[in-house]
Amino acid sequence: MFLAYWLTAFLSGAGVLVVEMTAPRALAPWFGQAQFVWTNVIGLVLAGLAIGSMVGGRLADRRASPGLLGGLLLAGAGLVALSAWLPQWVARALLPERLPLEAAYPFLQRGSFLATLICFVPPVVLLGAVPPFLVRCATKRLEEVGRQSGLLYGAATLGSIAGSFATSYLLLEPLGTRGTQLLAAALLAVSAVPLFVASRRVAGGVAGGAAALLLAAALLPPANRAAAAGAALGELLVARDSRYQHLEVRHRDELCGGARVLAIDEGHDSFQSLTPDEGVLTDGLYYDYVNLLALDAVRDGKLRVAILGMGAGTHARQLLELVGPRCDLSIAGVELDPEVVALGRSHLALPDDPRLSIASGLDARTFADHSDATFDLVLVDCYSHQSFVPPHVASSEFFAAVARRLRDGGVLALNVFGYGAADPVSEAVAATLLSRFPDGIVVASLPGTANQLVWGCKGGVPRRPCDWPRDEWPEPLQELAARLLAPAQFFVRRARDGERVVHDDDGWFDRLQERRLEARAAALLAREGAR
Amino acid sequence: MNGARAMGEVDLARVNEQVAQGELEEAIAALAAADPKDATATLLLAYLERQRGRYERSEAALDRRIALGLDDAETLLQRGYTRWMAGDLAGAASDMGRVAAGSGDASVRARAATGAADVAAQQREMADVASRAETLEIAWGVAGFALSVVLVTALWRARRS
Repeated sequence: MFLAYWLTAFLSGAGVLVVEMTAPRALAPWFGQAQFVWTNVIGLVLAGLAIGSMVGGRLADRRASPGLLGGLLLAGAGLVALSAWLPQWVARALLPERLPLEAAYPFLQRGSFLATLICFVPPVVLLGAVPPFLVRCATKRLEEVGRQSGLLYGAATLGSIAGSFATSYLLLEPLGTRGTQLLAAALLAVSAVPLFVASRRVAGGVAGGAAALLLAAALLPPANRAAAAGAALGELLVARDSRYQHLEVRHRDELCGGARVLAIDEGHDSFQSLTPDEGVLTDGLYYDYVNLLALDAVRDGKLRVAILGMGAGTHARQLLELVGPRCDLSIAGVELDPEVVALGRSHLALPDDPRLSIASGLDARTFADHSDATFDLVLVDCYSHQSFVPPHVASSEFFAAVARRLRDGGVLALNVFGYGAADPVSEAVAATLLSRFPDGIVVASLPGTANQLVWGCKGGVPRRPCDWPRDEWPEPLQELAARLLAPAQFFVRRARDGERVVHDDDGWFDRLQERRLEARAAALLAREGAR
Repeated sequence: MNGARAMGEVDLARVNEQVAQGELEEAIAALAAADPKDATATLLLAYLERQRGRYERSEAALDRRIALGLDDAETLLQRGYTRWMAGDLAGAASDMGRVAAGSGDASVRARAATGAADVAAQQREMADVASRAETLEIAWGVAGFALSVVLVTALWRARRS
């Protein structure tokens, strides 16, 4: 019987970790996977375990029955299985139908808290009750309490370790988030069977076995392993969960007269790559400006471009089509998530072109640190969790590494998500860029969007767009320049005293990005509330 | 050289040079001291204030320009953008709608129409978002309180038993 108890402790420990590790992914299509979502999940799972442990201990003292323990496990298994579908219903109840990203912070932060509480804490409370219950059931004499509790808590911890590694390396890829949760539920139900049998509850054992079989059968339909459709705008074409994030390709009629977009995690009204139904231009979004910047970077008829954070290839497509015919062009695209590149190929018209070489599965920082190529233009467009710039690709050390990859006079440009040039995140990125381009950088705040382009030039101050030799450009791009550059504001920015620079080992930059979102949403909601 | 000009007259070439050199605060100071009737200086001042995130001052400069009778499409569109960035969706929609329905330059009207449509969509969304946010805030507070009570109660009862 002790082996059954040990196995139960092991499986319940594994079940808790599977729930904990899959919960942020299950919430991602609606609430994202930012740091605060992980914090909510981990904090609430631990709270659930604490409650379960305290309640389970009391319950065990009153009635230490293996049959009751089996009932707890079976109920826990049922709730884990339910949590595979529950998040989408809870999210629909909590979130408005259309949520602008700039007002989304309280919904993502508080919403993920509530969704975790509703979807994932109940099964964890039941699973948290298991270890003290097991100790009570397994212990016959007072003097063996220490040994038994050590063995059983050790088994639960080993199960947690196995659950964490198995989730990451074995289960998520073939089974998906839902399939992994269902498998965990099935194993928990299986672990209840010997407990029912030990207490001679044959009916309970049969029920447990049947539940496990049903859950295992539920794993088989491919729909149960497929990614859920989340909260992004537009008609869903495909949804996938990659190792890093939730991905959706959607079609939006209102963008560029119709376009396919790549939405990441919660998406909402935001997107990361855009493929118009017709042509490659994007109605004046920041992508279009990069072509003009690229034209100014052409030297001796050659242009070597690196796009760090290539996404599904919007920049690459534009450059190949608009700038490619005017010069000897080569592009190195670097994208961390191979699934993004795959979706680019299958749904977003990412071209298979000999001028474009793609390094997928590679971090932009690794590329900057170890590449030995030299470029005329390096574009950095790296984001994680939707709108967060990872510090290791916005740090002074990273910019130093990229600068080493530039030829003299080469340009390093960044797309910075921010609400105006005075946005604290934009200011921090600009100050950090200036730490490596001390002569000055250009800041372009693009009206009507939350995108800014900032760029520095190796060995001098970059030319402002008003100084670009537009007359030499081909006609279609002159038109583009006239349309885009006339209303935009471009400023040279220099370092200011006391500005804080982002370094690799800084933690404040993440929190700054979170506070910026919080402040923007609060301002918008306060103004709307006052109306 | 500056003393040779009338009071309030701004040296735009110097201001442009300051902007090019990144000396935005110096340029703003020069423009703020300019004659309020100087329409060019006022527009540039509005751009720079917006660039620095001071939307109220940017809007005030554009208002002055409009009060001078220079309510051209570009000025109104820029005020619309400033209001939009400040979160004043109703004001932005009004300005952009006027430009889009006006008879100005076709490309300016097209930009205004795009902006007006985006702002209108955001306005519709925000009404729902604001009411949902209040409900969510209450639910979050109640849930956090309830969880704390459950934790403390469980601990208390476990200790007593």
